Amino acid sequence: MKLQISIFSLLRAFVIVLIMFILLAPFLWILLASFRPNMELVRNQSLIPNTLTIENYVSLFVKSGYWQWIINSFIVATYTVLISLPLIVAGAYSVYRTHYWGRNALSLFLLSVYIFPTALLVIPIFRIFNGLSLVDSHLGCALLNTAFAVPFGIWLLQAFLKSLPPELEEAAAVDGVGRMRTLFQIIIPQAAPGIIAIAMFAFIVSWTEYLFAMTLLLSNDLHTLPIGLTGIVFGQYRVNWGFAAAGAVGSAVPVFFLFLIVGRWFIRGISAGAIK
Amino acid sequence: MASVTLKNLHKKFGHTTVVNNVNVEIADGEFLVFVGPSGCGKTTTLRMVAGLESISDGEIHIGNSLVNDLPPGDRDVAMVFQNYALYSHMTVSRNLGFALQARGVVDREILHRVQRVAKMLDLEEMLERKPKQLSGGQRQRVALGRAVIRNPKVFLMDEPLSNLDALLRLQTRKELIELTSDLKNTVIYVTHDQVEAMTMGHRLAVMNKGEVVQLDTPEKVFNEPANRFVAEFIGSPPMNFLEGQVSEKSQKKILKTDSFDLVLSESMNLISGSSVIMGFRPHDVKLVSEGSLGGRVTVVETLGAEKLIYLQVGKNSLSILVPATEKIRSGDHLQFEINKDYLHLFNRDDEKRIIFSEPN
Repeated sequence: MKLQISIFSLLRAFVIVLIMFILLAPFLWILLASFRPNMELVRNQSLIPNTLTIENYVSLFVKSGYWQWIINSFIVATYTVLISLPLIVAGAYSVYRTHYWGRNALSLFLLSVYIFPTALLVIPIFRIFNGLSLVDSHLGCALLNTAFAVPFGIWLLQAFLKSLPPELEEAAAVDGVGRMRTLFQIIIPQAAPGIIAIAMFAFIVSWTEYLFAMTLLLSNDLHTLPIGLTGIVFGQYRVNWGFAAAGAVGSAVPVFFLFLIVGRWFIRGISAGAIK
Repeated sequence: MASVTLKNLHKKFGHTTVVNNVNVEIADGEFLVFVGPSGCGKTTTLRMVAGLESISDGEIHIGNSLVNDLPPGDRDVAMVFQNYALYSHMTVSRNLGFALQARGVVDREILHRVQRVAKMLDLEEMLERKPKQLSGGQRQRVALGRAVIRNPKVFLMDEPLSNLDALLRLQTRKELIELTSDLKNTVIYVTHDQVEAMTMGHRLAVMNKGEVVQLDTPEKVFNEPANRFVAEFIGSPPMNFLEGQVSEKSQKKILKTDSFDLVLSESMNLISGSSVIMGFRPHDVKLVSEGSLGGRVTVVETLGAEKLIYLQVGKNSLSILVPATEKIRSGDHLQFEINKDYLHLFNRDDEKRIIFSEPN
């Protein structure tokens, strides 16, 4: 009996390790690849490196415009979060709470934004943004990212709001607490975990966005990470795989740490009742 | 403090009527309990009083004012919810003071009132804790405190004790009775628990299928149930019912059931041939050594001080309560007598109580 259990748990552990390996292997490969010379990556595609080097990171941090791109990406992503969150919260609360004609149709219609292939939109959007003098500006880029983050964000947050007990709002209503105060002091703090998740979603939408940034950000010094990196990775005659791997790590790590810190700060905020 | 009047109150959801012509006048300072099985419309009625549910037809008056179209916050009522609806991100102290803060009461006054309520409800040690860190009973008290602190005209309570375990429920019930009798506010209380209703209410409004079927004091509802439904719903263990027909034999009225014949007392002047439902409570039965009624014991349930005996009498299973000292086992044959002073008779067709004029 005891033996059976241990065999079973061994088997289970093996399966878990296997699944973890399948999931994590690409990340591990990228991390290892970022420390390998480009020539080795082209010739030898095994997982185990022969030589380790930091040349890719030197190119990234010292020779490329990495720090400028990071700052630009950060600016655009922050704008995106700051603009989209109020819209998402207001939109989701409206869809979830208020009653007006065509509300359900409208909430479904929101998601139709994602029906169109984005490539089709590039030229019309460039013309429109040009007319609004939003070409070659971070704000313009953030507005576009907002347009893509908001519908899904609303859809996600209203599902989260529906999971809150309706008595919370009813109790506030009976106590004579106004709608806005209820929204800001009860609903938003109660929905904080959902709102944080959506903020992260909006941040990543912007952080990884390539097509529109490429179209709208013309000046080199406004380029975001995805544009900057591709410019170097895809050289005229060859692809610099080592640099690409270092760039991938270099763009993922800041976000990873940001979320770690922001997530903790938010959670502490909630448990201290500090978010008002 | 104020009276509450519900006048021809209706609530429809689509084509379904969930509250049907409810008329109740609740006096200033009265503790009125809406009691009934789930889905009978009691919570919907309460929510209409709170303003959380629109009114399909009828009027609600609080004090002298018609409140039909007033938003919940302007009705000066406070509500305690079944799941307490505490704000989990706020401390107990903020939970208590939140409504006052929203109404623009000055901080010093809020602090004073929070402390007074905390003292009243034994929450002083918990003021800085979050609801998560409290036990069920403590959370319940916070919910109560949030209502009490506003000193509203009317307290509305929607099954506030149903999430507590049995022992705590008993204790909290007593505390709630003491608290509300001290405060003297009007209370409208909703429960499906008939014991809770009987012990707490000054009057009960027994509801079934959206209608108030009886509105009276607990004693009256228990002793003179208006119909078979009330008789069955109020009282534990529930009343026994037998269907029968009245006949006359040597100038005595006799009720013939398919289990036994019972000679009715003279005051029960029923017409021969009428079909009735007879009801008697399990404790209105006495064991006798020699009697005309008898049955075989099928189940014996020991309740502590008493035993609940299920008897097979003819085609019917009846339950009777006897002192726990009686040595009874299943399979025994028992003789019993029904106390005719507490016999309830209902019309067979509409199941309404048959009322006999008192003999002069």
